[in-house]
Amino acid sequence: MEDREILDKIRDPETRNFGFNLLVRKYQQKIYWHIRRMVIDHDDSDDLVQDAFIKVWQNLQSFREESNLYTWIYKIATNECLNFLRKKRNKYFLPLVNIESALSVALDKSAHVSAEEIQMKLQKALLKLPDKQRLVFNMKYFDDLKYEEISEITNTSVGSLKASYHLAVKKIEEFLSNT
Amino acid sequence: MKLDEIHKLNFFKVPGDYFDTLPGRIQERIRETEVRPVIIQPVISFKYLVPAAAFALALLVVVLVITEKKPTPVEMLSQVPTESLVSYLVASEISTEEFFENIDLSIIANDFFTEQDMEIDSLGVSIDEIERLLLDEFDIHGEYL
Repeated sequence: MEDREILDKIRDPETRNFGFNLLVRKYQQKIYWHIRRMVIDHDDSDDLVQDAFIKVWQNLQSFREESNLYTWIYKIATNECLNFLRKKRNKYFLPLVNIESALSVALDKSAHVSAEEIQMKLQKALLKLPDKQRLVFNMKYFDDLKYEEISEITNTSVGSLKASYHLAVKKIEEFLSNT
Repeated sequence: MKLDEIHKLNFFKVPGDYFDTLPGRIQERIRETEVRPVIIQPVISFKYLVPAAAFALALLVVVLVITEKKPTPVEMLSQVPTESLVSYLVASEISTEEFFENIDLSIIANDFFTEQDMEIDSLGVSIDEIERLLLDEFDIHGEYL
C-alpha cells in the first residue's frame, strides 16, 4: 500500500489504528535492522524500535508531507539510536574505544547472528568506526539508500556523506586485510 | 581485502515470530501511554511532614519577633479622639503666648498621658516624638490655640 493511502487512513479517526498498524507492518523490518546494526543487541533494538514507532504515532499530526514518510521515520529511528549510544557512554563514563569493546562483546555473545566468520569480521570492523560514520555506511551499504535520502535523514550535505562513506570503506578494508 | 568480495547478507537474526508480534506490542504500549492516570506524588513524604511543619512554625515565630515594631506617635495618638486632645488643651491653663514662647510640649504631653491613664514610657515613644506629632500632625498651634 502506498504511503499516501496509509496516511489517509491514519488521519481518519475511524481507521486510525488500522492505518497505523499498516504503517508499522510496512516499515518495521527496515527500521528494526537499521537500529539493530547500530546497537547490536536484540533486546535494546526491540526497545528502541518500539520507542521510535511510538514517537512516530505521537508526531504524525505534525508530519509535513514535504518530506518522504519513509525518510521521516528513519530520521526518528536514527535519533533514537544516537541518543541511546550517547546515554550508554555517559552512563558508564566510557571513552569511545570502550563502547566499541562493549558492543563487540555483545556481538560475540549474541545468539541471533550468522555463523559466517567473514561476516563477524566485517561487523567488528564496523564497530571501529565512529557512530555517525557507521550510520552512514550502514544506510548506504546495507539499506541501499541514496545519498540524497541519507542527507535528509542526517541533515548532512551529500558531499560530506560521500567522503564519509569512502573513508569508511577504506578503514574497513584495511581492518579486514590486517586481521 | 576488498568490500566487494564479501557477500552482502543480513548478519543479524531475530526470534521466529518477532515481526508478527511487534505491531501488536507497539499498539499495546501506545494504549498504555494514552490511558495512564496521572499520579500526583507528594513533594515530601509524611515522615518529614511533622518536622517540616514544626520548623516552619518556629521560623514564623522568629520572623514575627524580629519584625515587631513599636507604635509610632501617629499610630498611638490616632487612637485618641481629637475631642479629647482639644478639650485637654482648652481646659489647661496655658495662654497662647505662653504656649508659643515658653511652652515645653513635653510637659503637655506628659500631662495629657497622665490624664488619660497612659504611661509614656510604657508606650516606648519619646517626648520629642510626641511634641512633633502635636505640632505637625494635629496642627494644634493654628486652629485650636
